[in-house]
Amino acid sequence: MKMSNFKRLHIVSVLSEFLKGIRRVILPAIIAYYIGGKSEQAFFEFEYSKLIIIVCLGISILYGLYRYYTFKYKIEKNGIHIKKGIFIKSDTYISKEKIKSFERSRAVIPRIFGLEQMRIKVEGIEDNNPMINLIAISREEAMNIQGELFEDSLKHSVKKSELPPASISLSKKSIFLSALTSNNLIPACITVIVIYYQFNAYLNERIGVPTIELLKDSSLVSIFSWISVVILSAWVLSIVQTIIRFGSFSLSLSDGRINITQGIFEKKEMMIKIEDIRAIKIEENIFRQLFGFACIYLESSSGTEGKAGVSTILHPFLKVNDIPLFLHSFSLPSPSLIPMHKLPSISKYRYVVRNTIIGCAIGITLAVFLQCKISLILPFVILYFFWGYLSYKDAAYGFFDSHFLLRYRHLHKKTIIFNRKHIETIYFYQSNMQRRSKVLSIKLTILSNISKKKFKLADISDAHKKIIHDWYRKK
Amino acid sequence: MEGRNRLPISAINVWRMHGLIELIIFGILLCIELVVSLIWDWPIWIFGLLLIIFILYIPLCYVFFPKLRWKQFFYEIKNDEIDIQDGLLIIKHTLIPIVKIQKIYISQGPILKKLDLANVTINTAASEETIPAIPYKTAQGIRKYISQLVTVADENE
Repeated sequence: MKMSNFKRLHIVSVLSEFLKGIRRVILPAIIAYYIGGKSEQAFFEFEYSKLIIIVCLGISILYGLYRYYTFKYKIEKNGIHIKKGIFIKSDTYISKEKIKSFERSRAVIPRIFGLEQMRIKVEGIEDNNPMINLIAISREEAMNIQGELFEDSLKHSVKKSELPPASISLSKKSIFLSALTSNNLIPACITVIVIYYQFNAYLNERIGVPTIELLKDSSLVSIFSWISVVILSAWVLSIVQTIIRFGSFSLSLSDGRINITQGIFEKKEMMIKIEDIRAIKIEENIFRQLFGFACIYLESSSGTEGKAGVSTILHPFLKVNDIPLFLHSFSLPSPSLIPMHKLPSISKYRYVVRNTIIGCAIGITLAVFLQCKISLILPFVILYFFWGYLSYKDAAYGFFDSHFLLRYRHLHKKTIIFNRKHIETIYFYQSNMQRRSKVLSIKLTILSNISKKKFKLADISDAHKKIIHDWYRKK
Repeated sequence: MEGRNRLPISAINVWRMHGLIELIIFGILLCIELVVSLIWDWPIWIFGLLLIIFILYIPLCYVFFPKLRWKQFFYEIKNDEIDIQDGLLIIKHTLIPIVKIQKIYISQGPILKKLDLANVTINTAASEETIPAIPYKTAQGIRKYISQLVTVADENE
């Protein structure tokens, strides 16, 4: 269906903007209420905060109305035409060739009205803003736009895959196990710690959680017990977040593009062209590695996430042994094809010593800051010592044909596979001490989701520098 | 243009002047720190420590580092890539394929202009590298030469 007139977004976009405004102010509002305290003076301060909140929400509604009246789009034969603005009017035309990928999502409120959001990723348009964001459009319209803008560009630019279309859905059990072992634990821990720090007095009154002053004077056993409570709370929070994000996850390959659908409350549909994939990252966090599972990410030049540099999850939870077959079914290179070189033995001492020094420094800083016993250093030294050793053991690199593999461990074990033509620059670093040990560090940069990403491996053998250099120069 | 190239000896003077500017700024900040310490009764050992670092930094940034950097800096422009070696304590060797180059430009600050030198900056989609302090005419030649190589590489692609 050809669209010949300029169209506006649905009026529900104003409501969406208002709800976004509520999301933005809700946390500061809660903090203002509690930090303000219960005294009259504080009550006056909270009144002041209430005024700010009302003003913020008012601005959200006004912005929603402004966008509703001023943003118009039209799908034309070879692209999309966008007009926006009142005082400074902008009129942008984006051709089909510049459109890289799209993402469709259906949050709870728009879904009630039969609407969804469509984000279209475009190669470098004005203000370096890669997204055209159609906030509230009907499902039929989204399908039509997809058909008009995207299907045709695929026919022109991509060779059809010789493999039959592949398709995978994640079972509820896999989603739950993925949630149990996800990476969200650390951000969730930080959230819980921040909440505890801000409200420890209030929590002490209500549910008997010890305050910070009480904790400082407690024994190490008490401190570690409460740390365990924090970690457990964070774990439950991260499980819920992951299930909401990856519920009903499914994945399919057809005509040179990978389609990903995920989400319970906000259903997202993403599409990535195989030719836009810059690297594949296989990540095994500490929990998943114990049980032989991993998560697979894609680094693509188009990207589908709203933020620059964020990778797209191709599969959140997969057995490590199944990875080669899975990647092959999606026409992607597998690490099993690439012979790997381990680091030379001299690197073991460098990794262990470097990490032990970091562990000592952290332990001493915490002991001084918390005014605790100096024996607090010991667990950090032991932890970082083993971490250094594991980092050395897991590190590897290799190349075969046009693919380069880098494997390293920071917190999680990561294996990255690059295609030679997508590596933007290679760096070799060598300090005096590395020169004496006959090792050096390598860094590769790629373009991922409009930003650059760097991947570094320390202390590889310097005898391989020329070999890697010659491999990189091959066409 | 092929073969390993060194920077001109005048690059050392450029880096010495940059070092001098850094020392002046460091010195001003040090004076501010002393005044603030006296007003707000901060521990004087902080000023003492910063002063020692400042005194040790003078010969490093004015004498040793510029010479060392000049000795270790090389660049080579090949048909298919650009090779840049730079660094002081850690030597960095950068490989930029010609096909990846998106932009090349020349820049000249007041110090470089006075010595008739310029920086050549090479941009790819994911990185930016600079060949610093080369004679202005050479910089123009390098820019032209690399542009021709990029055009040829694009045609071959």
